[in-house]
Amino acid sequence: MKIDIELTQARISSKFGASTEWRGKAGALVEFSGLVRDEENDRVIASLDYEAYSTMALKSMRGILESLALPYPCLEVRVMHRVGTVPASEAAIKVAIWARHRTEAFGLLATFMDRLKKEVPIWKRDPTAPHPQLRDAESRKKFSLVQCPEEPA
Amino acid sequence: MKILVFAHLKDVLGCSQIECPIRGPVTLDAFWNRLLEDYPVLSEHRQTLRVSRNLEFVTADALLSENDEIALIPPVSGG
Repeated sequence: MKIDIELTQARISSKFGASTEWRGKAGALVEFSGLVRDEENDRVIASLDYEAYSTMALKSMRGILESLALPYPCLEVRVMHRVGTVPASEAAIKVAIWARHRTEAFGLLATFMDRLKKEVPIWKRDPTAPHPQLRDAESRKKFSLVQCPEEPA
Repeated sequence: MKILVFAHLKDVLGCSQIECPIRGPVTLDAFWNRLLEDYPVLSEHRQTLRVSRNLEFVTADALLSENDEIALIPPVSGG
């Protein structure tokens, strides 16, 4: 199964799922877009910020997909996940799966997304939400006591 | 040992990488005990944090060394 995974700060192109490689071989092309809603925790929001532990996230996604190749033998899976600021209504993730039959494509998509949301080190945050760690005086006190080394270059 | 931190932990600690005088190899329990001595603010987060070593989550019997790439992984929320 061909696997292509990317993290990107750019808006995901509408041509993301375009391919002629599997013409005549694929009986199914399943495309999924995970969109940013305009509300989060009952707050109206304009965007979400996504952060990734990039090297581990890429390795983790690939590992998940490789483990799913046997139970869901598809032809190709393409995954693109945004990092940085993603405006509401835009896609934070897109997945495109080419398969001989729809059953394995749907199965792979559902299982991959379930596992991604539990295992892949990517985090989203409402940039306008007050941070819970800084709400009270005790937390601010703890925050001020932490000594950090120099940031890596 | 350098330890990468992410998401809200960066706010808690004020940086994206912390250091702890661990050379190892040490068990996961010993790692946490030493880390919490230097960073007691992490104690309230420990139950929700997973540890990764060289880009993979560790199991309870893992041994960690200073040459490993260690990270504290808060609950994830991608997708």
